[in-house]
Amino acid sequence: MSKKDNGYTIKFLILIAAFLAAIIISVVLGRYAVSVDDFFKILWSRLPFTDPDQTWEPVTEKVLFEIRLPRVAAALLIGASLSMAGVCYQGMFRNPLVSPDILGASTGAGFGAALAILLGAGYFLISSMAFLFGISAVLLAYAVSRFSKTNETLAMILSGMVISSLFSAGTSFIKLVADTDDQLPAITYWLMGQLSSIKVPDVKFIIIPMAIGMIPLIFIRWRLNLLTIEEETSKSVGVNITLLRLIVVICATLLTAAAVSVSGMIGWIGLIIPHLCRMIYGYDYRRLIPATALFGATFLLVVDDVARMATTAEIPIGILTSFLGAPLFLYLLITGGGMKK
Amino acid sequence: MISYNNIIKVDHLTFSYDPSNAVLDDISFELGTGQLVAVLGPNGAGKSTLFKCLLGLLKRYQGSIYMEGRDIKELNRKQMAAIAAYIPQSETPVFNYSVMDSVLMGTTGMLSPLQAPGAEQIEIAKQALAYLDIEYMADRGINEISGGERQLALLARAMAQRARVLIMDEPTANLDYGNQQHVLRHIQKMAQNGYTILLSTHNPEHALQYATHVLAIKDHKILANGNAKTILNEELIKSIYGLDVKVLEVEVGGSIVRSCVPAKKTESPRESSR
Repeated sequence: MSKKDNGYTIKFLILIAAFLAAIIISVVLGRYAVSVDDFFKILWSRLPFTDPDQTWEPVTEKVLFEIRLPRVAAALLIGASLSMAGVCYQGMFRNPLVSPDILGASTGAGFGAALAILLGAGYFLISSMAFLFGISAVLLAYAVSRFSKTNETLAMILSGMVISSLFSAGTSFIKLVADTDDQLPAITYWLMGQLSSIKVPDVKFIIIPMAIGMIPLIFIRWRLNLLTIEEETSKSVGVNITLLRLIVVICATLLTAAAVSVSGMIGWIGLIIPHLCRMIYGYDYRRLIPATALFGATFLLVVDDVARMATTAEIPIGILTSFLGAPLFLYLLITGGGMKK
Repeated sequence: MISYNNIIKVDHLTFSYDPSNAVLDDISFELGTGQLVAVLGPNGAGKSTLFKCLLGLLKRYQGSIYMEGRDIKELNRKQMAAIAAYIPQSETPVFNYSVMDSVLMGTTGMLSPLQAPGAEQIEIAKQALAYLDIEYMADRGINEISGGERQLALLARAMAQRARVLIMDEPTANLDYGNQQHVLRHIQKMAQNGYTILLSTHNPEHALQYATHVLAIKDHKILANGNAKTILNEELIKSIYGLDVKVLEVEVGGSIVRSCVPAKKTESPRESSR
């Protein structure tokens, strides 16, 4: 920010390099191996005005475009979305321990998905219901908080908690009445969080809400800094803080609900990545927004590679992120990394 | 810079959170440019509420407030920020921003919504830091400096805002004796350079030593309003705090400095504040 760069340029270059390397490695690795050579040749052939000889197996192209790339794209988008939503909410609630589901987006989405499965809906409808209920839960929490006479952010946290617990009670009830042979396992599996069933339509489904969520946050990222100081001060500095908060809630909700609607519950990412990024890239949101997006995307992609390749049967990624996130968080808690000092 | 005879004009201001009891009851006063106004009054007298009204944070008041000749009810946040800045008692930042970043936050009002501070704003921030002799802490973390330094950083942020009215809610309440004097001297310098400063304090000595004007509020009404030298005396301090004091005049380096000490016989402040 001031004239000193503090090595941020190099740190960003390393992050971008890791991001690109993770993409190439993730595309190539898998039960059906795709060579790096073939990957670039196939990509090249898809560009306009290029007409190279087809030296690869047709099945390679099919695997690449129907399985590998959609999954990589989903992992990147979901990782970036959850991390961005997390970093925004942590600033807005002035609390580094807040995660993107603080206003009930995840539990709402979980309820929507469970309800859809109970009603025997198809795959696409499950995602849509999850998305809609995720949004509705936050809208409800936000609306309730507007009626409260206490402090705006405290009211939001409390109403978010209440709405969350209401929806998770609903999910429990659905599990109780669901058919134990197929519906209950499907709900449980959905709630664990996994990317194994991601297909091209899923990516198309999430890309628009995610873009609508990300773009405004990227543009107003300087102003996000103002959320972290006392409300009276930020107002007197000339910011319409209520409008700014509303924008953040809308964007972060679109990001979280879209992510959860196709992946289920993937915890910890939105809490841990902002922490790590603050330690490396400092506190200014001008750097923090791009850093969390890239870091979160890379992180989830790598974890997903482990999820699909560590064992013969795939491990739901939500379990892995919890296994990784909890100890990492404990470490940060004990060392105080990125918090007060 | 334009000089106003009444940069702030408050006319029959009445405010209440609930209709049965007014927190501010028919307050009227005018202040000229360059005054350092000590706002005195017991706890709960309405000082903070008055400040919130002046900053446009509370808008449902009766009466009117004019600043730089404009009715502040008609100003939006950005226009308001160009006139008046707020300095809180203290800021305990959750995130360890650099002092420079923190000061730059003050320039937000001059930026369009999608704009981030650029070279011009960095220059403004640097000037503010230089004015307060704290350029050395520009790259330090706001959580790594002392309370006194942090308060100066808040002053720098208010200067970077380019507002000419500074409203300070007990800006020295959390500081040790040395830092209180240090911060108050900077505030005095700013008033002498044309800033109009309203500062609430619970320490009448600060008012005796630094203020040019005193606004005393008690029981939600104005108790006294006028030149500090003429109106701030033993009787006024007694009627504010219900405490007998002796005002002393001491010659320090060729000029007369006023201070006060509590006299022996004291009433309970609890009985007398109502």
